[in-house]
Amino acid sequence: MMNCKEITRLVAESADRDLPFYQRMRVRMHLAMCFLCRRFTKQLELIRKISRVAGGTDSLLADGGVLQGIVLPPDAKARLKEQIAHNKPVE
Amino acid sequence: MSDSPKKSTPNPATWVDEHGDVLYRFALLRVKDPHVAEDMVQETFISALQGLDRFKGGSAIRTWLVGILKHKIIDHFRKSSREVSTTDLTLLTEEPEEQVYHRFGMWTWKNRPQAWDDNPDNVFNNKEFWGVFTGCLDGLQETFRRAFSLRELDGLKTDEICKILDITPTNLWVILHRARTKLRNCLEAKWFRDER
Repeated sequence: MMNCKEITRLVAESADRDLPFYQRMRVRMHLAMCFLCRRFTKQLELIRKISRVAGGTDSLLADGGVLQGIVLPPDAKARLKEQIAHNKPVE
Repeated sequence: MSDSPKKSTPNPATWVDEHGDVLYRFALLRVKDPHVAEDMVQETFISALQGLDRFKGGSAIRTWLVGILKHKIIDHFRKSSREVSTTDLTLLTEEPEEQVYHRFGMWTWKNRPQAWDDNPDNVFNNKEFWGVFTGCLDGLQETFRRAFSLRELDGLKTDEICKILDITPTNLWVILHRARTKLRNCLEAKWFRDER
């Protein structure tokens, strides 16, 4: 019988590697019985979904998106514009 | 490509105003340090200028620039992976933090996963939530943060990430597990558990 600590590790790792068949079965059996581990599993899935949205460029543009209000500092913008205008390599 | 209309040829003079902020945010989310993020954007523009003839008019200029930026960030990770990971890897031998959450292998009542108000509508278009999310991401150790962002923000395969960060698959699994757990705990404490 696997315990919650092992199950949470396996649940997290199943996002990154294929678990062997017997481990998958034991995870499934444990989740059928344990609502806290089920909850944990659902929460990790939500975090994956959120992260994928955060990683896309759409979220960086949207009004309510990631890092809204953060802009490239004006001095950096001026410098970059000048470099582009002269099309010269940096420093 | 040569017969495409003049209109679709990229105009680098407008890049900074049109794409600068998005590229900067994209980089900042992944590298944390504002100066490094600025450097990444700068390198992206320079590479783009040098490779302007390789731009295929079909894809949007922003998509093309973001693609270049992604590679710049990965190169940055690769170049600095050794110095970062040796310090962070020593953390892996220490007692894991999530140990606290279990006793005799079971969840403790005090530290059990709480029910979340997890309606995605409440988070995906919420500036406040994203502030908490990036704050929690910034709370991860550098190697954990890098591994997590390559895996979950960019969706890279684990073997690619191992090469970039110069670590073994076993270490990567442990790192990602720790990163996921820490991020979960942080989001729960700072957002989902909050009685708003």
